[in-house]
Amino acid sequence: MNKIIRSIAIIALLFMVTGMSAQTNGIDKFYEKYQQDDRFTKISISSKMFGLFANFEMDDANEKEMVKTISKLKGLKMLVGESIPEAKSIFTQAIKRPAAEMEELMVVQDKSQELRFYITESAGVISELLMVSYSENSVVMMSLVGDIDLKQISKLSKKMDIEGFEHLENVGK
Amino acid sequence: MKKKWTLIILFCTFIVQASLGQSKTVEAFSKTTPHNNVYLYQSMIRMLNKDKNPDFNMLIRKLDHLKFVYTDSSGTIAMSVFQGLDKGVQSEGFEEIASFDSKDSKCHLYELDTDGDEGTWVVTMFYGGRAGVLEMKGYLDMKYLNALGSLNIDKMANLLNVEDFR
Repeated sequence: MNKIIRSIAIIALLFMVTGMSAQTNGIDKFYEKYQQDDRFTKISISSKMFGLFANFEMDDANEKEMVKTISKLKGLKMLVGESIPEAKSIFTQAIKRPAAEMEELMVVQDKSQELRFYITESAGVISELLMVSYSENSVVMMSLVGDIDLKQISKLSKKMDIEGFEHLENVGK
Repeated sequence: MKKKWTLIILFCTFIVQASLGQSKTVEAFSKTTPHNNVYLYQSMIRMLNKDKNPDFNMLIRKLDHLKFVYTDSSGTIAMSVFQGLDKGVQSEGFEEIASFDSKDSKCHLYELDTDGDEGTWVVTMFYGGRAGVLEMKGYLDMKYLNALGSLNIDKMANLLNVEDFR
């Protein structure tokens, strides 16, 4: 009897672990859901790609620091939906999990649009930065995972032409 | 007689070594589109160094070749070719390291890491209604990435027939 209970417990644990590893960041569920939906543009960058930056040799100290920051990133996923009538509803769904499990970093809101940044932080180390936004008929989700230096990422955000990222510039100040 | 066998063995060894690390999917695809194949070997790429910059040669010194193959067909046929290329490359064990997918264009970057230096990179593309694949054997020495500015892009685009792809 004990053996059966132990087996069930092990199987249940395995399922839990598999479930957790299958959803590694805040937008995986939506990335999968809209994988075949042509209204969405999908961008994914793996840790290997970021790791290549570690080999860049820069002369400028600021650039060196930037390269170091990028090489510590482990992945980026981005989902951009245009002409989406249900943009607000997707946004509301998308912020449910981070609102419960992550720390809210920033909210920018007006009548027709909303943008939220969330982070996962442990012992002063940020392991995920999540951005979710909507405006009229568009919705944007972006998850950045790795060893995140918010100050450097905010500097980097100036160079990245990602809508909504300009708000991060204030975080690093 | 011994000499003949030695030559045969040497020839076979050379063929096997030359095919190691290359994508079988790209190889098979290039046979179906014999008129749309462009190979650029290191010696040729070195000639694209417009400034005669020594760092440019360092940048590409571990690069074996670039191979660009693309379809004649367009539209839905090209899309199914793209999907087939993607599946083929994945089934060979290539790891996807970056991807971009939108309604009109798709681009997936894969790497097959063999023994350290001799990685093979494959980019599957769907753009302008046509499908194509770019294979790069070897790698660029990132320490000299700044020397990429010495690449004669127009000449390279001409060699790769990129205009046709548009």
